[in-house]
Amino acid sequence: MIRTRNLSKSVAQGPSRLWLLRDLTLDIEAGDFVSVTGPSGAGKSTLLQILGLHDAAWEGTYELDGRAVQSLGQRDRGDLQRRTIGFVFQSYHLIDDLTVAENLDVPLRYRDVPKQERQSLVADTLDRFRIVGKKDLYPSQLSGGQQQLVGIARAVIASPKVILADEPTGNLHSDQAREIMELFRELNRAGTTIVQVTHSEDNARYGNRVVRLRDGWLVP
Amino acid sequence: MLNDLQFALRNLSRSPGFSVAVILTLTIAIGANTAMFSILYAVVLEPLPFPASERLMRVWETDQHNASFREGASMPDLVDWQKQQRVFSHLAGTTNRMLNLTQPDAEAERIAMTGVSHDYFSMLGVRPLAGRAFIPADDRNGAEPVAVISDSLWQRRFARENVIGRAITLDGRSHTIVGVMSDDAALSRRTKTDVWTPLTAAVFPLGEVRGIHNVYVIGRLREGVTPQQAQNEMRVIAARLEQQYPDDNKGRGVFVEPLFESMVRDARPRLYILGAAVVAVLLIACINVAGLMLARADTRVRELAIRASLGATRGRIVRQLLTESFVLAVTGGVLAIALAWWATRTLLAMAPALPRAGNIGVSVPVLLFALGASVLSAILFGVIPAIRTSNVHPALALGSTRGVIRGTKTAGRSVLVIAEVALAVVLVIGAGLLLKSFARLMAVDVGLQTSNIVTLSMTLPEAKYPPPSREQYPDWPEAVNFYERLTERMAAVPGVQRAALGMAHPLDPSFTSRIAVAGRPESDGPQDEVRIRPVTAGYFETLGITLLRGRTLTRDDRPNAPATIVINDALARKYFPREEPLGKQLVFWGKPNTIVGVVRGERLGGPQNEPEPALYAPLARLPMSDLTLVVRSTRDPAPIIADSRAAIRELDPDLALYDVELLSAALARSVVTPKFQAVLIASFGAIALLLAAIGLYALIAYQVQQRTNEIGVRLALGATRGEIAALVLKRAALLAAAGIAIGLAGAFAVARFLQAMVFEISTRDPAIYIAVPLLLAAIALLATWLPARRAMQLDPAMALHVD
Repeated sequence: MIRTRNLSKSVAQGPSRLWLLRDLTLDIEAGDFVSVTGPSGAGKSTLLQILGLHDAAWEGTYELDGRAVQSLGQRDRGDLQRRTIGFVFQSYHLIDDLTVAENLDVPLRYRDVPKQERQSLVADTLDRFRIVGKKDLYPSQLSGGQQQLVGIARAVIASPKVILADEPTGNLHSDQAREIMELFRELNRAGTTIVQVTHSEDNARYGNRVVRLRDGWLVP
Repeated sequence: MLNDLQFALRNLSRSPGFSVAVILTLTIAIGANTAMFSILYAVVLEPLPFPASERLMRVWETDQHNASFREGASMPDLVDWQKQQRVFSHLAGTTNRMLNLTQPDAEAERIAMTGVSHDYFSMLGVRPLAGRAFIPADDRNGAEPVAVISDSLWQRRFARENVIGRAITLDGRSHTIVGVMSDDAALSRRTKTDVWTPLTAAVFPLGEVRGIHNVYVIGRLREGVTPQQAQNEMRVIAARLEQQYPDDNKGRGVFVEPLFESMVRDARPRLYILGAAVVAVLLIACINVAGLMLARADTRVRELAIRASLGATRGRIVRQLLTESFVLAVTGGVLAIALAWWATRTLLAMAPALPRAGNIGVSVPVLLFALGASVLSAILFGVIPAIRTSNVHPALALGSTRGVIRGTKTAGRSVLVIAEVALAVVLVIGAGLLLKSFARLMAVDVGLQTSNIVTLSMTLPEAKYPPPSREQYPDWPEAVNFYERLTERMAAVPGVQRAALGMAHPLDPSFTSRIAVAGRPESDGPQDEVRIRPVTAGYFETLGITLLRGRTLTRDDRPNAPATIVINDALARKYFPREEPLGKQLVFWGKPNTIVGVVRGERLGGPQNEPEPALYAPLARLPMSDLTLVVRSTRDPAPIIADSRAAIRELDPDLALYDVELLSAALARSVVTPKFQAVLIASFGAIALLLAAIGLYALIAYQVQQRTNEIGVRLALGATRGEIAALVLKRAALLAAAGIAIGLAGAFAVARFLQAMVFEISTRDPAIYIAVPLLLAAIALLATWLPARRAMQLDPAMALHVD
């Protein structure tokens, strides 16, 4: 599903360059649940941004769902991203002005899904995540765990092949965190590839594989 | 698209403060523009309502003598032109006059008559609403008197009954109504025509005199003939007539001008300047709204980053932001139409007599303009913020903080604020110049006292007061008898201090004639034409005109007494610069008249006009039919007017009275054009000032918010509150100074266009150019003070916790 070869990323820092990722070679198969760990500044978020096609300034090769990303134009990358990836953020990043149901609707609109289909997908997802009762609430009316639940629901609603999660439980207390991780496990069992960045050893254990980074290098 | 619209409506309704501010700003700006456009369109852009109206030409006589390009023709000249020309399919004459309409059992009414050639209506291409137009047989000497009435007179006096064949009495003569025409068939610039009569009868008995130029000529070019070709042929004809009739036509030529141009020429530059001012207001409004949009966009970076990370393309985000701009602009535009409808009425109520003012209203082109202005505004204020904001990086959303991810660049907004301050400076300087000019105008002594004076104008109808022939003049006992009886009767009206009669309204310039000083050779030129106003005894005293030397006219200055006149100081300065004028004689109409007094000159037509050389002769020696009764009283004007009306009706119940009002009201009307301009530009200036102040405030407040952290650090490092205030104010001062400097340069460059609109001040009046920047600086300081105070009061500990 994800295949990188010698993936490197650097930024200018005065006369020299600061390396954020170095010669990263990584294979993630469909159905994997990979946890990326490492200390602060190791390059975890940078890797997630590149995998999520939010960052195009890197060297090496990256193949996503059989497509060589480095040879795609901006428009094709956008299409590939919409087709393949769903995001879950540490800070949930729900849109404050939209209700829960409307937040779920947003990715579908950007994928030009017809209205009736959108309505039924939103209803199914609300049901599946057991948040039907919250559908008309605004994010500010939800607890952190509930917000992240909506965040995950929003990430999966367009049926992505891969979910990229950046510290998905970083802002939650342990009970809520556990629930969210269980949810990820369920999604993974249902066939979704998951890549999560985490500091937590407990969370990392939910995955079937752990990838460690330090100073931009992949370490064993 | 519908989705974007839903999103837009949703988003905007969630920020009511922002939405209302933007919509209100746009409503005011687009409304002012739409109102101005509706006036501009009706007055100077909309074609005349006649088929192929571009072929209608005004054919003027020119006079080399006084370098005049636009004079009427004489009736004999018109007849010769009609016979000799081949470039016009029709060539019709018109002449305008006020006359009395009398009907049994109804009050006499003063109405506007236009005498027209029989083919006038067919030349314009208008058809009668009822009855018929004139035929050649109507327009001959000795023809039965006939009239065509206007639609509005038909409605007002006859309730749209069948009037064809009915008789109406015009100036005491019975006329048969043969037709009714649309009001549009009137081409008079100021007054509407109520009734048309055949030209030959209208100019009688002066139709044979080649030296009287009271016929205004309009022609329709034949198909394929250009105005230049018409000009060439008419020039040849005029030269021929000049040779043929050297006494009357020496130095007289022809000037062919498109009719439309002749009607809108005077109003156009003024309206264009006002139009430019109001467009500047729209620009300032757009700049302000763009600033608001940018500030709002900064608070939405997080939301847009999330949308981008959820799959929104940049085009999609631009489209959504632009949709919001369009929703705001179109809402503003719709409200603006309502505002414009109201504003147009208000403007018209205070507007000077604009040509074609009757056309002004909210029409389809005006609605299209409002729509266009809304769309243009949306593009102006929406595109830059949309493009800038859409360039959001989705990676921002992946950051770990929940706080708003802020853009900190405000250079673009600084440029916008500088631009709006500059535009405001230009507008406020324009407003300052016009207001100062208007204040000067109002401070001018017009040479007569206008308070507590009532005027009642009237014209003695020829049927009842048959004018004497040339040979018999000035022997006109019916008129002189009326003057004497009326002045005597007025003296008995309670509360009347003084009353007198004069020819024409005191502010109207009466008539001119050539004069010569007895004993000096007569020079041949227009410079020897002076104003002549026949008046009764007590005229100067009633109007408070200052006597400088000698005496005024008295009841003893009768027809059989020695011929006496009073002159004004302008005439004395011109003709007797180093001599005593009293006792000297002026010759006019072939007779010498002795000067017995000198009075201060009046500014005829309004304070903007310099006093012209004028002389006053006893009305009984120079009897006239166009009269104004001036009454000075100690009582309220209403009962005085009622009593004066009653006194006149006692003497002649058929006399129609007009201009019945306080003289001060007529004077106020004479300055209505400069007042209109000054009030309009001052309103635009005030709006511009307000918007610029809001723009500056919003930017500085935003910058303070952005720099909260920095300010906290500075305070923690020991900066005083004063230093923090200075930091904020310095930034505002730089912006304001840049805007003011650019605005001053701009005002300097464009002020010359105001030259024709100001009175006795320079368009580079130093006081205005100093005062306006000071005013702007004061307003900028005020607008910045609130954010500066907020910065000063920041708690460093709190500020450092804001990320």
